[in-house]
Amino acid sequence: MLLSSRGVKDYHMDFYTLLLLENEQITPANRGWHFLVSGELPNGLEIISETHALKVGTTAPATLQEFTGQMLVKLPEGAVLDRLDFIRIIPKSSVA
Amino acid sequence: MKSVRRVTQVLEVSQAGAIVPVDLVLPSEAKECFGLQAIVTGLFPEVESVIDFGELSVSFNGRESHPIHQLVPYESAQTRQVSTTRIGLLPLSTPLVSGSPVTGFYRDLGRQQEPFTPYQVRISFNLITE
Repeated sequence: MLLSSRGVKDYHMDFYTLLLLENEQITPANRGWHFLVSGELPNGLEIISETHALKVGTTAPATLQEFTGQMLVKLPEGAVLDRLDFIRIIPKSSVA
Repeated sequence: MKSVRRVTQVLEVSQAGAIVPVDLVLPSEAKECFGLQAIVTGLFPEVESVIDFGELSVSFNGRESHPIHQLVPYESAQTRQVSTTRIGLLPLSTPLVSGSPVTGFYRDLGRQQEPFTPYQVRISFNLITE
């Protein structure tokens, strides 16, 4: 439903794990849509993408946390979190 | 009959680094967004004019269309007085699906020094309605 309403007929789907090795890191740029599946996130964690930004504890939670393309992840001081998990969907180009 | 209408959304920014969601539904008679303007309203005597006061991302039609991801500038009162130009309208040509949400976010980029002064960002959508 979510994909068909955007005109996506074919896509690649996988799980994407972002290992948090530093307090601030940027993912490679791509055309993917990332749906956050990790729970129990520390207060102050920021995930900022091209279309959506989340700051845990201050931003009103949406039902679906969807991030598009490149992401900037900022861990607050003292937070213990070593990974973030997403379902990633990359639309495939359709050939007429 | 086609006409032009402007819809304004005001975002309240209450702390440094704040992330404020953009979430609204434009009038169902709006058929196209042909321009968008984002203006920081507030006076911060300690801040010079900067081009990167905040960051704005806006998607239309349930994120199907994402024409805007840009920096939002701040013009100090002094600059505003002597400037011959005003922060401009970003031209768009985005067809709108009736009743679909406009989503996105504004992020403060921490250009104010302590203490932080809360401010507003006015986002104006210029629409063609039918």
